[in-house]
Amino acid sequence: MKLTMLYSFLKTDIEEIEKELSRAIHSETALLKNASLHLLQAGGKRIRPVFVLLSAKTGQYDIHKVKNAAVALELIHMASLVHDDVIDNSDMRRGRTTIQAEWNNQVAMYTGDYMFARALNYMTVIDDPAAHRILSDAIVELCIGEIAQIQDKYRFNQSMKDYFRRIKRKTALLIAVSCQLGAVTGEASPDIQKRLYRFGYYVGMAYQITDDILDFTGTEKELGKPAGGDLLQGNITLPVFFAMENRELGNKIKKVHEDMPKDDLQQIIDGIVKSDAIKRSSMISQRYLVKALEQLDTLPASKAKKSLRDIAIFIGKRKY
Amino acid sequence: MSFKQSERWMNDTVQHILDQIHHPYLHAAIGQPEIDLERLSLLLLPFYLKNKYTKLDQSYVATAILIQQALDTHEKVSANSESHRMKQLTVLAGDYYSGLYYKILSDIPDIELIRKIAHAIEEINEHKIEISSGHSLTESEYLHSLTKIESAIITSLFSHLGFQEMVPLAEKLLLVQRLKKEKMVFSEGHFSSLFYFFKHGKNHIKASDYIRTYKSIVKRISEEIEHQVKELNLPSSTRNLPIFSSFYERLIMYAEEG
Repeated sequence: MKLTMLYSFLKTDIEEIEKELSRAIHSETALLKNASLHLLQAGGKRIRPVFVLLSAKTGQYDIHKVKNAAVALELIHMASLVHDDVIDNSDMRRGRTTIQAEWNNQVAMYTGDYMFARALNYMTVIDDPAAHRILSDAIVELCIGEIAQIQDKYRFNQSMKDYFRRIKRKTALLIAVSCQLGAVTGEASPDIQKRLYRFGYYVGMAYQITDDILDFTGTEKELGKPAGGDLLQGNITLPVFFAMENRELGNKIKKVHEDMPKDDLQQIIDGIVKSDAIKRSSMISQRYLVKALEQLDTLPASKAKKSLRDIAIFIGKRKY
Repeated sequence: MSFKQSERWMNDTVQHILDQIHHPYLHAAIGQPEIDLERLSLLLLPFYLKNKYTKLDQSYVATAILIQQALDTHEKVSANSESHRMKQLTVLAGDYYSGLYYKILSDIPDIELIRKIAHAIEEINEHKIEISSGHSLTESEYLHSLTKIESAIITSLFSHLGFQEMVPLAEKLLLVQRLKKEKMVFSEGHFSSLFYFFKHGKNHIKASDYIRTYKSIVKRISEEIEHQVKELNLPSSTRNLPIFSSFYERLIMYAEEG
């Protein structure tokens, strides 16, 4: 089943978001427009706008109002991807060359900054200080999380708490805030706003853990990058923590470095996959998913609630 | 107001900004950000004239400095020949400063200024792309772009706070400051956007005429600044502000050169 089928009743509004995204990145400066379009046309799941729209459905839904938050969140996500590609020196994203590879780092930096500014411009249509406080806090935390990720690279003695805090900031917060902002924009009750924030947070945690599992179990074709890439870059993820409990495997993992030969890395990946690390990580991911679904329990029955539930399950079980 | 008072405002604001952006790991790795005191003193000028500078004013001034810090930090990414980690952290530092300025304005809260600043940043990046894309520009197009890049943030803030009359002066002062920096990096053998423009602009300039052309542009803008200073009837005490001290040094230099 395709993800889009889980919220097919939003089709018209999602198309509107897509059109608005095209309008948002329109610039009189050809190079800037082309670079932004280059990323936009590469597609993406647009999961953040979907969460914004579905969450707004728990209140007074007005697409003309809520689309501003949805577009802003997707633009912030896109801006962070453009800068991430500079950080990671990535040549490919979503099957296309990255902006830094197609043009250069400078164009990528300007494009990312431009997209971020466009995002804030859209946000300002929402005349609610609380919405801005929520988003700005999340953005600062997101940056702190990204910095921590670099600080923690190849630091094999870090705690699991470090990992959870990192993925909270890196992934879960923006999804949590997408849900919360949807509810705030729809003027849902404070209790629903809080529940949707928590729902997004738990889904985000499950999503990232699944992502970290797939880094070992996915194929290069599915992932769009070689398997074990995160570990090679020094990112200590949940499966790695569990795998390191085996002393022999742990000692091998601690020797991972950027220039490690492919065969040596493959041996470690095989070791991690054969161990119980994947299964245990999946269990943690499932636990977050259950917590996410619990948050929806008290929400009145609606198409939106069903979609949020189905998307959460889909994300938790996705294979790539 | 006394010069000491303005110095105290400067120091307090610098400390306030440093407290806001403090990140031990980041700054141990890429170095403590340097606050542009000339720019800061320009931002303080209207408050200096009003003889009033509140905590809220300080938040606004800090915001303008933070945004500039974010943009300038990202400017270092392509030129950075340091390690990969240094490059990664430089990108993230700029993003972090951007997040912080949004947070300050959200906490005030001033949504209207968030919009104006966002628009200014869009414009700045459009001009940055324009001058770096290798298009053949005229001198006036190039200087217009440079003016926007350097002053769009400050002028948005000035307009927002009702200091519209300061805008033309701020634009010229920051343009001269940028031209001066361009000459310095060129003299040090680094890439300079200005000297690249001299070579590849619409009116191609011979290498032997670079310095003469540079001086003539700076002189012309300095005259406009002098005119603005007279128009605004700025008290002589403002000459002590860093943004003016270097300007008056230049005026003396031109007077001596005839």
